[in-house]
Amino acid sequence: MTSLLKVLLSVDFGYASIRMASPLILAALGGIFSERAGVLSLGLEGMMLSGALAGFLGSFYSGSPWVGVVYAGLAGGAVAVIYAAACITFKANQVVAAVGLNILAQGITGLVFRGAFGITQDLHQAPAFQPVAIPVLSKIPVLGPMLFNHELLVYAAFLLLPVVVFVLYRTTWGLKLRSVGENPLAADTVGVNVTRMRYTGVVISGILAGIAGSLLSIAFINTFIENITAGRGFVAFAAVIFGKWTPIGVFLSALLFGAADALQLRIQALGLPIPYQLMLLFPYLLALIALVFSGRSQSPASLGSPYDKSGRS
Amino acid sequence: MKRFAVVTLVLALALTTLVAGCSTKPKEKVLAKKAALILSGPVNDGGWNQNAYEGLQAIKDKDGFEVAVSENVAQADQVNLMRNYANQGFKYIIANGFEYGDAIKTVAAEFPKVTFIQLGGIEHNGANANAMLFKSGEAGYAVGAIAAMMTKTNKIGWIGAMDIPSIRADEDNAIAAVKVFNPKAKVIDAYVGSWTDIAKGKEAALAQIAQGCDIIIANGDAVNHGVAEAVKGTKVGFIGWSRDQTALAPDNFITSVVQSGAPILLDLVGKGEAGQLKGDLYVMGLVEGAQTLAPYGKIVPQDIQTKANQVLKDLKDNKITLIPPKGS
Repeated sequence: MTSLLKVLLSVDFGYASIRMASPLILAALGGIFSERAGVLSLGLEGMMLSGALAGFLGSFYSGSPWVGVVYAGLAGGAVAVIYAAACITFKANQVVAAVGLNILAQGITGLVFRGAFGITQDLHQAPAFQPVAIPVLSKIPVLGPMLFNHELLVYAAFLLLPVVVFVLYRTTWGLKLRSVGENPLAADTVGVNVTRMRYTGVVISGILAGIAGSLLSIAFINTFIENITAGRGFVAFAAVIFGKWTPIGVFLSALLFGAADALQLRIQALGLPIPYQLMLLFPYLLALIALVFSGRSQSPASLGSPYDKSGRS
Repeated sequence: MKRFAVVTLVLALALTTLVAGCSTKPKEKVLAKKAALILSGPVNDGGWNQNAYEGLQAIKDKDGFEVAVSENVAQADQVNLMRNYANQGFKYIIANGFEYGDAIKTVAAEFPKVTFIQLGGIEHNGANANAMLFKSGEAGYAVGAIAAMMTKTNKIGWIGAMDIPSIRADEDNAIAAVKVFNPKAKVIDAYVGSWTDIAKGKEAALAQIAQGCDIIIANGDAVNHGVAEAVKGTKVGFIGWSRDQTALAPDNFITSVVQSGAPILLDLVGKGEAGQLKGDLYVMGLVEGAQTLAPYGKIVPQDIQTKANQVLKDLKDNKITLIPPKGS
């Protein structure tokens, strides 16, 4: 038990938690824009995976991870446009469209990666982001190495939180976005372009999810492999719900999922006689328990339903 | 008149069908020279599935087979996929992994003329279902011995993708070898729960390094890429699996277990073409050349290399009692 406490208080655990949480934070904060506009963000997985590949390719061919990030955002955004078109313009069932999108992304990323590299060689590496120590701050004992020695994209994920809070609650645009998710008819009546707002929300979520994916392929690991995201998009989606659609709640739940994952790997490393399967499901168990005790959850009122101007939706 | 024409036509058709039926019945329907490979992951995973895929390419190039591959096959689709291939006249259906046992049992009984080969499994029926199993544990024992001799902190990390009997058997034997070669050393294990989550593989390795491990044995297909990424730039030694993984972390590389699909499939399909595949279980390992160790990395001292070679020789000579896989 003391060894467990030691792990919980260790710098390594804090550092790993932040690192593992940051792709979830980026994707989940993005997911808020989509969900608050009334469109399910179940397609985050596919958007992340596309971003992971595009980021890798961009960095590989240009030699700069920054180009990779731009590509990743564009790819995530492009995939989001397809999803938005299906859900908003063609009023498709959003769950079905999202599942289809995720399968599509898995197929296309595999196809493109093989087209570019074939299946004979073993390892392809692209220039990647390196951890950047922030002067002064990184010298603080314990907190310094834990918080201020990460890749730039990790800092970006954390700095995104205040930005999202501000945009969502302190700007007219944010109010409009939330209104189309709650009551699109009312929003439409006062002159808000529901379709455009929803498209924008989904595309923003796609761009952020794409960048979140590139965190995996050109920051933590500088290579790409098919299905590299391994379900992180779904965890991010869960974080949006678990965080009750508020930026701070979503941020904290993404952080919790990341920390739980980092913890389970460390408990395995301690060699405690606990079945590893139990450790693997630990983050999800924690989420479930927290959901049960967190009281009633309020989703955006018209989440998941397409808006039909004729009012028959 | 019209009715007469119809009746004649029907009779004529019935007659020809009957005749045709009679003439083909005594003959065995000749299956095309086609082989299908079924994989649970992608062909470019740099490990288990890629090996099998290369084996399939070998029988295509050398034996002139027409081949087909199904990747990323979910457990629920196994049976129908096998039936599809069987219906399409594939002579060989090759399934890559322990997880295909039940599906083969079902489908092999339905299509007695089709030959099934399970790689890395045990499902054989004395007729048309054959299985090939890597001699479980011998590779684990060998790398365990090397890790035990190499470690200075006396902590050795073991990272597996999934907890399946074959991987667990290798781990059990690695632990057994560590007890023999360095009783003070301890093996710390972690299972990632995915064959493709390389980011988590890296995190698992970092967690073990933080616990003081200075050698990590990675048995997790693509997950090994992440483990290699974690050891780069440190003094931690890396032992890989499935292929020669020197390139993943050249400065940390100790060795890796190399399992090659080409000799195995060429051998088995060759036997099949000669009519010698009769539903047996083939256990292949160091002796058959089905698995071996990659050339040692530069951080492995000469004396340890010599001792390691002796271990390999002892394993080949059956001088070492291995722990068998559990639950299989």
